[in-house]
Amino acid sequence: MNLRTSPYGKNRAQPPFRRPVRQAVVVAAFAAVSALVLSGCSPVESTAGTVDETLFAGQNLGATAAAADVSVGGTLVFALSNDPGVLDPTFSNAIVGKHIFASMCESLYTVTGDGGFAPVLATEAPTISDDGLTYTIPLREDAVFSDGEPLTAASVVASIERNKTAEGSLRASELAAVERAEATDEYTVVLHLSKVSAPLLSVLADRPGMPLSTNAMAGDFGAAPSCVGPFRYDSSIAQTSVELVKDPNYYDADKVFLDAISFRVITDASVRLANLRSGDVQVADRLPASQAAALLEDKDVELLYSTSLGYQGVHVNLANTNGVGSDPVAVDTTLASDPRVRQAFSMAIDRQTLVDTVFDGAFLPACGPVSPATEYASEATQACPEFDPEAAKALLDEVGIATPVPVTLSVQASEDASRYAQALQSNAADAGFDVTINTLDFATVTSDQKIGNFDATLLGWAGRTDPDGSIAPFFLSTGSQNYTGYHSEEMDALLADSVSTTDIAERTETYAQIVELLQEDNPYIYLYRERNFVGQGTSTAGVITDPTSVVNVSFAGFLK
Amino acid sequence: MLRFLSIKLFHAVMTLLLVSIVVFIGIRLLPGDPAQIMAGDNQDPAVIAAYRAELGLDQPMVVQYWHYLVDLVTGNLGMSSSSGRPVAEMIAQTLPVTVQLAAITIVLSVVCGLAFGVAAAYWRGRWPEWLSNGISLLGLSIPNFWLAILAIVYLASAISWLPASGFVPFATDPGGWFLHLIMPALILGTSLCAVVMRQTRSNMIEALGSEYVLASRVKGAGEPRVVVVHALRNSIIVVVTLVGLHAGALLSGAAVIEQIFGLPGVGRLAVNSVFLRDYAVLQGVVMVSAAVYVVINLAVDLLYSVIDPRIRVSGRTA
Repeated sequence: MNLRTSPYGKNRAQPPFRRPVRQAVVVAAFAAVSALVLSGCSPVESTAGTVDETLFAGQNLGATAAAADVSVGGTLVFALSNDPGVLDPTFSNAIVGKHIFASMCESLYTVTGDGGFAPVLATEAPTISDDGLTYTIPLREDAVFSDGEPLTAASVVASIERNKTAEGSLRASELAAVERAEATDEYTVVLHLSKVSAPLLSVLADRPGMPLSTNAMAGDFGAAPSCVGPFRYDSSIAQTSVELVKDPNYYDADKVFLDAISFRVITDASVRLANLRSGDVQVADRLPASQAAALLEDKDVELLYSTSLGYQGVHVNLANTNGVGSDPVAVDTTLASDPRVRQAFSMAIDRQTLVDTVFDGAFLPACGPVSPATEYASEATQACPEFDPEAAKALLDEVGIATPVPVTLSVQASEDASRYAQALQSNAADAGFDVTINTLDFATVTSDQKIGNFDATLLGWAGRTDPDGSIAPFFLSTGSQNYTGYHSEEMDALLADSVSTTDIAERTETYAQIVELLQEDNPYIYLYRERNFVGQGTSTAGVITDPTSVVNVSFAGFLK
Repeated sequence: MLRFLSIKLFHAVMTLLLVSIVVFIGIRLLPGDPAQIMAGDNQDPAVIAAYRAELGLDQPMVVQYWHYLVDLVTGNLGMSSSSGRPVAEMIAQTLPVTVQLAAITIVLSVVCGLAFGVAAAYWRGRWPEWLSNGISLLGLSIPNFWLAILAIVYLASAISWLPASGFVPFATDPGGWFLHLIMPALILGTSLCAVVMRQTRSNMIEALGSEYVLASRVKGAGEPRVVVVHALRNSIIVVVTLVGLHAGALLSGAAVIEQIFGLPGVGRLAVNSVFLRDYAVLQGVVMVSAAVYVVINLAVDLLYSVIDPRIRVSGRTA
């Protein structure tokens, strides 16, 4: 008999502790685990005085690098929060694609730090005719596409035609006001508009304004893109990485320090930040809001930030029963039944406390679609309803609605959205709204929105430079993204007014009226506005961003 | 022999056909479609209709399936709607990465499991056994995605021992290739190591108490020889079976680990294609995986029939 393994010998296997000690250990462990779990359940408390809400007032868009400080050469690695998708400006549908286009495809104009515009491939601002229907754009004469073809007015006209007419073009609706483009001489483009369009300049500063090489357009552009830019496309692996190399044909090639840029897709925000801290990447976009305050103090990371042009909030289904674009059929939910119920919901939400609790004050409350980062921010466009749960309950009594009011809220399965929805649920319960959260993946949420298969959805909008892009698609009766089924002649008239002039003061006044109407009818309840947080590591300088959140690393370099 | 082979081949083809139907219908049951995803936030109905027509989504399901089947049989896996690249190219770029990750994971977890299992069995009743048991319990209980994020934050970010994410091909930099894969492989292998350890321990305990081990000790063999040559050899057969059974779990766990560590593997490709409703890519990945399993099973069956003539003749043993 082998004494070592026999159950009878003196070396037989023993439990490590005697019974009473084991019981004590088990009870203590159970108590510790319960305490940890239960501590997660607590009501939303006011955070007044504990969170510094002024930390990110204003913006930090970064600064260009001085030639004396940086060395020439090196490959900068940029961690992208999402897959950039197809690298063709006509068909690109991903916001992160703009970070790549910033280095690879310059456009006619660009957005400046104060929300204005500056010429890039154009030489000056467009000359607009008195009736607003003709734009004359002079082009620079020394620009060359990365494949060697020179940039002329003819290639700009061809690019605009392609954006308007290519089947499946995502830029066609943005260029809807442009009837035709004409090359009046080798370096002058004239756009003939069918109606006055205030947003057109911002459109020319975005993807529709990026000239594409005629040769590359003739083939599969997405596989071999060619535009004018400091860098040109080298290679890519789908959903993983994109490599750009310095373009010797660029007109300002001597101002470019880097040899190459490598974009890597890292979707998890914590992993992106860890990569930035360890130096494996030099730039990362969309850093987690909960870390923003700590990152301001972090000496390993330079935090760039700006206020988003968009917003986050709740679409309420009013009359979308058969899909967007179909005739409105009233939806049978308490929220949809009376605008005063929605007003009560809006008054029941403590927007400031929610962003302080969920995002540590890194985001800000929002009550309307006009971002404070635009030229149309005024006291009227930034007006907010008071947080007043008592008044909310009184309003519900007045309408004759019994509490609790049931609300089914569809939420996409992202960390920020889930946490915010739970805090919202807790907050709204105090005023008599019983919110049920329904978590779905993003594609399901957008599909449900279109067919009207929702009661309320927590879904935001990334925003556009011109406020029209953030309002008209949703609230125009014929809007392509009118998920709520909102139809209002008054709103249609106001929106038509808002784009019929380019005068900023006049448009701001119209937007004030639009915001007032939106806060009366509440088809969409605005809740908060994100900030764009971009991190730059300490080994590089010269990374800049702009109010549209596009990050441009073209003129960055490694510090000596 | 020919009859045996043709029956097996027929079963293989039927299995693949069934898989193609299940995945084809399965992904189309999800709300949304690739046309909506491709349109991004420009949800213009005309644009979406144009994409639907281009992808053939406006045709009846049966017609779509028929076109898909015809393409499949001719070896055409189609084009990805989200990236515009051929599906075959995307799979060819990503499959090797997953295979490399799985291979390193299996090697590391088997070595880990055997080492701890032998220690637990040999020093039974003493601290090595309790340490091994504790480690195997943690390995089975702790979710590996949580462990992955902890590892990135502490090992990569705070101390910079290992790269935080990404992949470097072996041909470019063998050292970098290994450093990028070792953390994901260790974390992916925690549960396999735990399972191998438990099984090895119980097999070894039985083997160490057996008579042939007693006989070899009596004959004067040294302890290392007794443990490795005599006792361990008999335990390894079960480990091989275990690894085979766990291969499936390994591949699905790989999808999560690949997402976290940014490894461009086929698991991450499959998960992304579900979120992007990229029908062609998901169908392609599933069909390729199914084909690999079927081919391996067929090869193993053939191998059995070669080793054991009874199977070859009658299709069963005795």
